[in-house]
Amino acid sequence: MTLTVENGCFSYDGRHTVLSDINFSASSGEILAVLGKNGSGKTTLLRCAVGLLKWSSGRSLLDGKDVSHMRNRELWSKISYVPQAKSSFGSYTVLESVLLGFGSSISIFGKPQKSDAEKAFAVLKRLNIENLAYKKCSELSGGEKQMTLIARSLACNPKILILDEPESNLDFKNQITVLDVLSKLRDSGICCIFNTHFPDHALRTADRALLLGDDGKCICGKTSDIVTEENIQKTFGVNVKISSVTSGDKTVKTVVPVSTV
Amino acid sequence: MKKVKKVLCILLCLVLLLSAVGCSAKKDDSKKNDDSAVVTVVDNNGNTVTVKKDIQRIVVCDIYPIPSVLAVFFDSASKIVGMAQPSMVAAKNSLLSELYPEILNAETGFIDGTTVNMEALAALNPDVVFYSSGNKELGKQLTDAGYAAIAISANKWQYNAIETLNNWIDLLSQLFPENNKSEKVRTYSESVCNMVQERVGSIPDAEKAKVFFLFQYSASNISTSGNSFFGQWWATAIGAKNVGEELDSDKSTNVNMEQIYKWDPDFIFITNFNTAKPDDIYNNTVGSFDWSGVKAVKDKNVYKMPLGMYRTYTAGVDTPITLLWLAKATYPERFEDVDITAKTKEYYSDVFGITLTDEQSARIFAPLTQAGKLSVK
Amino acid sequence: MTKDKYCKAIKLSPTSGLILFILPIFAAIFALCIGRLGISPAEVVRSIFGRITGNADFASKNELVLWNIRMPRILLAALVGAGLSVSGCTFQSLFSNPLATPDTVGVSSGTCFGAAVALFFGADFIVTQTVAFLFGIIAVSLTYLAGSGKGKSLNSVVLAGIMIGSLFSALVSFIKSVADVNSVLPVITFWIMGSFAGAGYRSLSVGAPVMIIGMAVLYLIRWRLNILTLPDDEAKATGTNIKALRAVSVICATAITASCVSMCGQVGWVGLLVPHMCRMKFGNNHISLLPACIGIGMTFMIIVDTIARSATAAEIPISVLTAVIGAPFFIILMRKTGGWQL
Repeated sequence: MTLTVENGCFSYDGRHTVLSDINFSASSGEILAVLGKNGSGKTTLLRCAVGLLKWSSGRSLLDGKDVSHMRNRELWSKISYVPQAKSSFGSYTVLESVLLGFGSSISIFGKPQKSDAEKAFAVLKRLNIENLAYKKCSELSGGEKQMTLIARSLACNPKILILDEPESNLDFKNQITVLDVLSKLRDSGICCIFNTHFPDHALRTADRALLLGDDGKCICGKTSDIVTEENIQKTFGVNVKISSVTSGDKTVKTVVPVSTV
Repeated sequence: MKKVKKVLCILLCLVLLLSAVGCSAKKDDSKKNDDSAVVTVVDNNGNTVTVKKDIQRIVVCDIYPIPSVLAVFFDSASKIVGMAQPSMVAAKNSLLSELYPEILNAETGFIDGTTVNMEALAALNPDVVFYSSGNKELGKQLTDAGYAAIAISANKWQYNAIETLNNWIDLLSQLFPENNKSEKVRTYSESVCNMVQERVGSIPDAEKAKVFFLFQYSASNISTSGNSFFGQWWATAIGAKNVGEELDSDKSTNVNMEQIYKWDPDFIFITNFNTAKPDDIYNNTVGSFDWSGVKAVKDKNVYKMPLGMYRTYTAGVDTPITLLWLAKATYPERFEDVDITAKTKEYYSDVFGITLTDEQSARIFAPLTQAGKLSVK
Repeated sequence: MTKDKYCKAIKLSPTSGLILFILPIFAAIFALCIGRLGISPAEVVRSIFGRITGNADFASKNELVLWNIRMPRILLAALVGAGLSVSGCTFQSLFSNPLATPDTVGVSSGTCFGAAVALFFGADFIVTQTVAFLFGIIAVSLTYLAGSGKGKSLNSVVLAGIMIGSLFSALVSFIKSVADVNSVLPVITFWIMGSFAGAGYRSLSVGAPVMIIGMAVLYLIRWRLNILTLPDDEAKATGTNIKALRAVSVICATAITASCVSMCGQVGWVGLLVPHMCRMKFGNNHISLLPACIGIGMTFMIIVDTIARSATAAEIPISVLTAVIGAPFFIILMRKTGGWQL
């Protein structure tokens, strides 16, 4: 499955352009990281890509079909959107919250059945949070909340997962945990597209990267081609040094900020 | 800046001048009052009120029976220049407008419920204003505005309608000594009271008829008289029992159908404060209320109270004959010799010098239900 | 992991379901035995069997009181209790606001205004009910027009609703001030305070169908109502047509409320008390919450109305009782369960 954006342009009020000339695509078994300054329109980009916002011009295609012409239930059974975990949470239990993800597979007057509950439980197991199943969402930590949201998004077996800054508000360990989860999902054939503030994370996890500039335009390609010292200086105004660190049999690329421009 | 200050100063002076003129104008008026002949009375609230002797223009605010009392008292309604809507509706639908057509010329727009538009009142230029003794704010408003305001009470005498009428006539007789009817009214009403008591006084408690006064009636509520409202007094005066006696209240009280079934009254008297007629009770036409099992309905003892000069449930000039009518309706066998129509004619001609035809007299006891509306709509 | 614990997430536990079903029935039978007339429980039971077997003495006073006076009133109380609870619960979830009640969208005030207008012109009961219902729908439409649309959030709907509600309340006050003190005003006042005194099969047959349909629809989509509390994006991402879901919920809840108010005036507090009490015991999952609201709402209202019509010879206005009885109950429950969270 491939999500493609062609010539996407967006503006909230018709005057100030937030995004212009956006072109990219992401396919199954791939991770795409979206980077950009605060206010550059990363969240807007993701929302437009999946049809939560309408492009001012241009379109999103899912396997060649225009997203805005697809029926809700069809679209959301193939794509899942994971928002930031800081928004308000109903006080459902984790299991109930995950069950909400079955919306597109349950009929209008239906309720989740035992099989759905079992599937939900399996997802929790997959993410190693099955011990949280009956805990109230309001009592979860930031990382646990994020994992719950990811679990919900996996409920209907989507082929493409869109995540808005999934590791932003998490502690050190949880950040890595989430990224590792994304890698595992990618390995199982799911396409993940996520926003991040951290070029490190892109280098660590993403196969491809998209860099959003101030002017609303973007550059997209292999992570190693996009996340370069030159690009980072141009986009973020920070002088950095990118280096490789080896420990045992693991080599990790890291981005070290040196000074601001 | 200087120019603006100058203009402001001039404006200020003008304003002060105008208010000074206004105040002194009032003073002049009150001076005038002191000069002409006056009458001093103590009204039903105990206030001493001074009124000029030659009263030509009377306004009645929120004490609804009074216009009818006044009209009969003077045998003319020409002095009544203003009254409230409920009084007007009663007048239109009763004998009052037939006997005194000029009463329909009175203004009703100056008062809405219990709120008086002082300017509209001023336009009527009344010599005296009657208001309900319970409405002390209105009384203060009227007195402050310089009117001779007289408080009239409907409940000062424990809702004893006869006493209330007697006292009203007393007060009016003091105000208008040339129309003094105190003696006549008191003698007649007391004689009726005594006659009724003689005939019903001996009825033992257990045999007393149970009566229910249907004060308000609509699709959503039924209300009746508690133990200190007119209903209670009427029942006692005719030797019957007010089923609403156990309700400790001095105004109308809402009850539900089941309670009425518990009481199971022998008689139902529908007041003129609602538009229901006996047929509405017999046929359950209002809302979802089912009266069919009540004794009064099964015995066909549901009556609409008479409407003479005003709604007879409260005190008014019709009170003595209402007493007689109620007694006869409840204990027909004890009042077989009483011809209500004849008695009514006798009452009005002997006491007030008013001649009623047989037909008019009979009509009092078959009132239009329209009087039950208190507004023109 | 205990797999049977699943059940709570996907359906109402059978014990709870049974209790919620039986409670109102017991309350109704209990209420049937109580009243000013003093009919013994044995007689009530005899009468019930009499009705079933057709042997009843239809002319007797007790029969009349039981089946023409008490029964319709119990039915009305049950229906209104359930209806107001369900619509209150729906509005709270819809606006993710614990204070959301039918007044938050102006429905109650609009319906009251319709009723006041009809009563002022001396309309009969059926006309009053219809006009009241129409104005309820008008009020919520005005709220929707004023408060929603491009770029507006859910909170602007609440603000608009309160504004529209206040507008209609003011209009009702105006009508009360020009209505006649002795005849029309008390009727309007009693109506607006809420009263089941005028209950009857005829008025039930007018208002009940709409209420039952509204509640049935909300009952059927009760799992989807969970999605109402999610933020916009998350809600859309579940594959639900969130606009349609909101519209259907609002229309059903409004229709139910307007019907209630047009049958018996404004009965306050129920739409706030019962849903919250249920949330404390049953949680926020509508799969259990909605049936709980229905069952507890019915029971609560039947009990309160039984007191209103039997405690004293005079009728006690129902809104007074719902507050006086409901509030302490609510506080006790809140202290026991440590409160709730929406």
